Amino acid sequence: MPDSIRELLQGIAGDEPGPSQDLAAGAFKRARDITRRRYAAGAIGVVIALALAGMGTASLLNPDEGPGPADDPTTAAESPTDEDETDDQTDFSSEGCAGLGDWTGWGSSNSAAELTELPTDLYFAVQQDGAESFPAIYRYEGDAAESLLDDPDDSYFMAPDGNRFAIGSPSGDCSSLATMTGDKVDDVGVYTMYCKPSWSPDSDRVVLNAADPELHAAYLVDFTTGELTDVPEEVGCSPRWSADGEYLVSADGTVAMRPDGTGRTELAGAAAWTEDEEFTGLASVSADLSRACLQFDDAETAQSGHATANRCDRYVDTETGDELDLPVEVQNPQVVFLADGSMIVVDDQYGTIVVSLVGADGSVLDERELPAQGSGGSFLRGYFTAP
Amino acid sequence: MSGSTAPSGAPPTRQGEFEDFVRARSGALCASAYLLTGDRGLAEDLVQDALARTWRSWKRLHQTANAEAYTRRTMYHLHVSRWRRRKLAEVATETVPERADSRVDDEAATALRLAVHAALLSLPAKQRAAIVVRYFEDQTEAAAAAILDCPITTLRARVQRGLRRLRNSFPELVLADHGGHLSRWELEFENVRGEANA
Repeated sequence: MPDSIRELLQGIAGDEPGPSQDLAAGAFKRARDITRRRYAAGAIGVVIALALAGMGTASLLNPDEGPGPADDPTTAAESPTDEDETDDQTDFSSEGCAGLGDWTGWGSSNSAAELTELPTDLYFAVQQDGAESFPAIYRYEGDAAESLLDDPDDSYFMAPDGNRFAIGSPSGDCSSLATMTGDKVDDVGVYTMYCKPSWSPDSDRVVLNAADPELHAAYLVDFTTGELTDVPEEVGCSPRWSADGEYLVSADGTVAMRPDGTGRTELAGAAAWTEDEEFTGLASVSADLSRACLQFDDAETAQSGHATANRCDRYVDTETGDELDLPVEVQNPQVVFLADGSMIVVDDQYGTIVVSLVGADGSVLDERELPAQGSGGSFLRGYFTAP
Repeated sequence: MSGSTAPSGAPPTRQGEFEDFVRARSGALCASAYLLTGDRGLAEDLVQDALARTWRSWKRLHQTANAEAYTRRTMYHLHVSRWRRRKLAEVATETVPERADSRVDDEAATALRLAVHAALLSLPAKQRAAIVVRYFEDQTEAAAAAILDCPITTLRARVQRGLRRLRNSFPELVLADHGGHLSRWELEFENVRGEANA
């Protein structure tokens, strides 16, 4: 009778015969399928662009209910062969992704602006029950909600401008950056198993991670130039941008620095939250780095390495670690700090989302109630959406 | 299983090298995958998905002789990812086959293996992966943490929680030594707990 778990596991595995099929042949076929899916994923921006142009979002997004999307000229070329797949790798490649090549960016989004009222259009990441599923992206036009990006195989990370987005890949497949207006670039490493894309407030930069077999390289994509640059390791995984877009702050809220590594600053009060085993991560931080929002969960979730911090379970003074009072009464708040000291407070009240624009002096400048679309949480992503 | 496509005497092609790699390692990979999935078909499916990604990176991987580590790492990530997304039906501990009340050692051992595998499959995917990497693949803590992309402290916590749940399912196994001494499994559990508290 084996009494070692090692012997037991070996016995269990030893009961099984070897593979019943040619796994190499299957792997070749699946590699080709991955390539096709990657190219197809890039076409989604075109679909949405057409949908937003008034051709009927629902019918376009559901191929069973209408004509399919127009052919995307950039996907018309033959898919590369498997041999091609293993070529043309860059320092920022991810499992054979070719990188951004000669892409020169899409220019500035010109979206960041001082808000005096809530914009008409707001974009939310909506989590459904069973918190393991990928969130869908919803657009609220006024209080009318519309699901725009929802796919069981892809996760979407929307920029604050409500236009640009990254398509995430938890398995390390090559992926895409795209816009709701139909632009896209493929062959990008957007590895999201552990680190999530982090958009700058102006939507002109995003921190991504490549799924490298030997290195989890963090890199920054500058959309104004198309340039890729390294991101310091300390702030390389799911960092939070200061509200003015100058600093990246580590996901544990301990250190801030500019994307080029200059201006390194340790947040003095960090011990107050990092020593709490239920601390999940930094959700957002003010422009002057003096205030931050933190999320807390049960210890197992918090320390799993998979949870993404969104909620403002504790609003703190980063110098002292002391908890502060939010300027509005809330139940399940999310806070988006703005560059001028104001903030957007989102309160998911399970059925109703209350969105408040709060000025730097604490006064409520605007407020809107929206019908919730998911029971697993709704988190504001796109808010610099004024035309 | 097809062989290498390289003609005899010719330099091996990249595809041929990959096929040789698959031929040599697919048995071991499928064994780990079987422990993770509990189903032969799902195991082969998981291994093929991981191998597909390995092939896509083959130019880089075969030069660094790192293909197997990369394949295993990808396999574990895919497994956790699938579990998170689809909540694949897993065998609940309530369905653990009853242990055979047999005096024949082989039958008892087989029943035990079935029961332990069912209990293993009832663990959360990350705990299951941690136990398989540490105790089946016999990786060090540091290597296991690297494969699973988590800090060593997190790995220890997962192993500890997984072993605790297994122990709760099989107290008779853990306490197999009737002489009052700890079984090897119990010692492993105690060691892990000690490391975690260190």
